[in-house]
Amino acid sequence: MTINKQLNGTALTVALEGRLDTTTSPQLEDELKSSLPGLTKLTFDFSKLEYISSAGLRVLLGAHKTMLKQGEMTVTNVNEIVKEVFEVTGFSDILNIE
Amino acid sequence: MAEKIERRLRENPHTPLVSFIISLTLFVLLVAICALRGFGGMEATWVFNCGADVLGVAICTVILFSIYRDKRNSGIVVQLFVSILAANSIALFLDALCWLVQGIPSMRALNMIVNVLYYCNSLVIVFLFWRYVDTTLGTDGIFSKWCGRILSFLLLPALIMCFVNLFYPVYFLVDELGNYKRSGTYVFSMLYLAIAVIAIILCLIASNAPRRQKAIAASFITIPLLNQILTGAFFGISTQYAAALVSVVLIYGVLFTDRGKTLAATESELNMAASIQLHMLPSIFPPFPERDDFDIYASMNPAKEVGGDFYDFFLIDDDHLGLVMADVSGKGVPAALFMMASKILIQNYALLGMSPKEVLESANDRICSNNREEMFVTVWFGSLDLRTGVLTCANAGHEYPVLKNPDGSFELIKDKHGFVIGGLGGVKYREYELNLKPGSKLFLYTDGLPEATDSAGELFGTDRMLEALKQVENGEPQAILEGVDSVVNRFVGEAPQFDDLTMLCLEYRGKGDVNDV
Repeated sequence: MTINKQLNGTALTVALEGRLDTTTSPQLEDELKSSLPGLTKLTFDFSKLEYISSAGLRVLLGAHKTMLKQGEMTVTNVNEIVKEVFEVTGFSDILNIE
Repeated sequence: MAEKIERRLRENPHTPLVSFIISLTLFVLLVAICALRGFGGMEATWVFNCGADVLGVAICTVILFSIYRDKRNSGIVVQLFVSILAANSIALFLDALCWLVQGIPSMRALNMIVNVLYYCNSLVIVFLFWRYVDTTLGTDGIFSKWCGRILSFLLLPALIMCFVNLFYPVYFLVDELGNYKRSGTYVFSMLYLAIAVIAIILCLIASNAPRRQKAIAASFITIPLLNQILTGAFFGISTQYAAALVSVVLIYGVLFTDRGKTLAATESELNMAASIQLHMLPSIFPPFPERDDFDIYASMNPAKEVGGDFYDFFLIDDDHLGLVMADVSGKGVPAALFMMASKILIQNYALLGMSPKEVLESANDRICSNNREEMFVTVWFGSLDLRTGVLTCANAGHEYPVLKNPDGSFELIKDKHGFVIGGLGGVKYREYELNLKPGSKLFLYTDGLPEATDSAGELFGTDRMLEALKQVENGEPQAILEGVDSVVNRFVGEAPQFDDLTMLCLEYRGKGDVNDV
């Protein structure tokens, strides 16, 4: 999985390419840990994300909780598979999805 | 510059692969050169050296391959070790080349270049070994710190001196007949090595590492030293890197078998953990042989030794059956631990007589208060009134249940999903009711089923799941599960099982309400 970050002041856009599952989520978790402090706006671009598992959801939830205290978080461009995972798990009611 | 080498090592995850490819290439090249040139005009001892070198490069290649293959191998220690091994392979290759071009006037220039490279490589390998000892047995001793600084600082000048030798015989020369000869100031080429040996010895003395580890590291000095004492006086024998290889193999054997022992212990513990977990799930079927108003069957196949999926069923009282299907985020030991805690909590709240909505809300608040690792679990919970067939349920982020009524087929029930349990405190859940008639069948599962993947990366999906269910829908719960299981296994084929696979089927036989859902 490749992670592309673009920083604009205190707004960060993170684009993921590939699968976010048990093997790749630690990578995302590490990246976020170093990038989140000081951010006011976090946007995820999932246009190239093929699949997300519960391990990936866990990392998203952690990021969401952190950003609740510092600013806002948005998830954009989800495909059908990811959208259904969000709906079934109830994440679509919690996350800001566009 | 020395720091740059090390930083490059630390950040490059491909060192084992690159080192293996380098060593393999050198081996093939060396064998080809020997075959093409033959050994004409060479002294017996020189041929002996070449033979030992070829064997040495082969051994390095094999070890590098096995280190590369084991994906567990990572970290700066392994990177350094692999680099030493690669440098050793290069040294053996260059040494063989030196003898192959020795005494051939037309190869004078090549002789000079190969020898210069040999000297440079020797410096690098000494530096790498110092870094290895410092990293694995490192101390805060003042002497060893200063030795380390000197070694890093002197590496570049020492390398430059080797290149100077191309133009002026600082350490050696190659005469008109193509013979390599040491010069008067040859001894200064050993200066860097001498400083490194002192530093390593100081480090070994000051280190608190176990004696065994120190002895193994020291062998990298003692074995080549022994070799030098025995053969140093004779021109024609240059087996010091073959000797060094002996030490490297020793280090490899210890380094990587120690890991093996820890691994074996962990494996047996995991097997025990798997057994504990398996026996926590109700697995005796039929579970309530004295009751004929329902039949139930369930199975859980973890992807690793222990999993995060679980199911549960229990009689809340004589007239109510509780059903649980759940999936913890993640797999393996962390998920299994979280699973045990969640299962016990949910069952306890259910046995207190709480409604499904209350069970999930209480379990969620309890789990959120103790959830530093921020794991979560998706749960479907239902309470079946065995007298009326009314199934009251609530869903916390779990897959849609599947229901077959006696006069119909299996269909997805698209219930409303609350948020996963353990995600956020204070979440509210919504209950709903399903009316089961005698002969109705309920099928519950976790996402391991629709997300089972074949080797082409395609998902099994809920459509195939429904098809598989329809094939076996007239059977008993056990037959239904076995049928679905075999369809999934056929679909997945050779691909490894990626997620835990858990299913439960309930058939309601008792008196039910005549009204439709």
